[in-house]
Amino acid sequence: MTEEKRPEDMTFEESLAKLNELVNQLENGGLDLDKNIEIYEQAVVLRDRCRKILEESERKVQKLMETADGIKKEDFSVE
Amino acid sequence: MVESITVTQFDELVKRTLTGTKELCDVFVSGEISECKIAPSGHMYFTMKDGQAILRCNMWRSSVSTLKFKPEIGLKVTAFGSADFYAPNGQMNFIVRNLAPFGEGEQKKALEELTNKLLKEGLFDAERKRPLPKYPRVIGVVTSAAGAVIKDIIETARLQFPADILLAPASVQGEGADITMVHALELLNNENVDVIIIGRGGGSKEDLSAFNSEALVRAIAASKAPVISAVGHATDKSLTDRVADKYAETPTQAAMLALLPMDQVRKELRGYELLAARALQSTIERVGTKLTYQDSRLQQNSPAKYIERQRNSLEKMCMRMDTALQTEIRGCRSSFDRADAKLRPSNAMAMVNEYGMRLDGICSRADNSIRNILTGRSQRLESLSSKLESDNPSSVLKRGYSYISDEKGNTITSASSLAKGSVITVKMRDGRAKAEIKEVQKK
Repeated sequence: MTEEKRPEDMTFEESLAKLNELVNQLENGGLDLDKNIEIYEQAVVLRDRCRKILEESERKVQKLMETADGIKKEDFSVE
Repeated sequence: MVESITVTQFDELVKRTLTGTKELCDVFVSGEISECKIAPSGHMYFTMKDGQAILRCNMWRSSVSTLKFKPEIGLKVTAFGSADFYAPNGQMNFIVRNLAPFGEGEQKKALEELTNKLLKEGLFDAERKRPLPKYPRVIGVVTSAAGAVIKDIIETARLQFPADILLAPASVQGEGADITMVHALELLNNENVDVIIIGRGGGSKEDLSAFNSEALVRAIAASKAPVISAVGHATDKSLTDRVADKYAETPTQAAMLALLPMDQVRKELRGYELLAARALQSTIERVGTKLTYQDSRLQQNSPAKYIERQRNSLEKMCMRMDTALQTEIRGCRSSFDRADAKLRPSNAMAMVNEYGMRLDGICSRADNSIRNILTGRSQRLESLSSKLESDNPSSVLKRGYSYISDEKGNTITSASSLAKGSVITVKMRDGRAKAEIKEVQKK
């Protein structure tokens, strides 16, 4: 069994998929209150993770360069 | 005098001859453009030449508007049209209806063949198109580092879902441009980008040739990451546009296809948030309802409630008992009253009196009856006695009567019982006499 990724290691898509899964679990019901609260707390963590990616991530723009030492990336900007 | 015709007549003859000659009608003529001018009217006047000759050409505005390239001096072209003669300037003109760069026909044919080949292989099939990742981390871009494409993409991406942009610079036109783009695609795939945009700005048809390269088409088809083409030529789709998973008319549109707008992503996230909160709320309500229910059950079964219920039922029972007892007592009382009423002395006296009176009545009636009976009987006795007295035979005999009897003593009452010589006894008041019948007479 593969160990589940920690939220901070997840991509936005993974976080959102997990969030969706948790919301489904909540919506399906049938769980006791403690379990529901636990799931809700996890959902909040994932939501925060998504928000962080959305609001805080730095959009990197780079260019691939072929050098004698192989492929390198360097920051790219348009004048 | 030598016969002559007018210039006009001559020119008309020339015009008729030129326009009536089949070989000069609907013909393709190839040459290099040596002069070229578009008049304010929109008509184009140009000349074509080869090593030895020139040809004046006119292209009317309606035909000029269909041109797919810009005719320039020095460009080799093929013109399609018919010869005509314009009398006012006495010149023969080639009226061009269609104009194309020289050799375009061959290129076109080669492109058609390639298109058909790739089409048969299924490279353009809709089923091959892959969906784009919804939230890519890195977008690869294959284009010129100097062009407007990368600039537009970077600008657009600022307002979209945050993804890194990795440019793999390549030539987009000229000899060998396709090879540089194939290489750039490989590099980006090695970098594991999530989606690739390949493109350039708009331009003339020749510039598109690199995007119709078989090598490039196959590289796009083989790309691990889905490819968005943004070759930027809305009227004429390149093979790159056809093989790509998505087609955009501009680099800006390509960036918008690759990345969702931030607003939309925020909205989606907010949606999940609301759903989660609502689901939790509903769980809390459900649990709350359960709790209330259990609590009410508990309340129902508390000792105090039990005692109260028992008390209630006891009270009810007592009330029933009381009612039953009251009814019974009332019944007994009424029986007693009836009996008591009967036993009262005044009542008893009245009854005695009543019976006495009834007895008196009966006695007096009995007295009367007996008296009546006795009176009747004594009267009858007297009457019978007097009658007896009158019926006494002795009394009759006293009145002179007698009777007779035979020898045996039987009383004779009829003459027929007598015969002559019968001896009879005559009885009289004071004695008897025997006599013999001498004669019997019958009435």
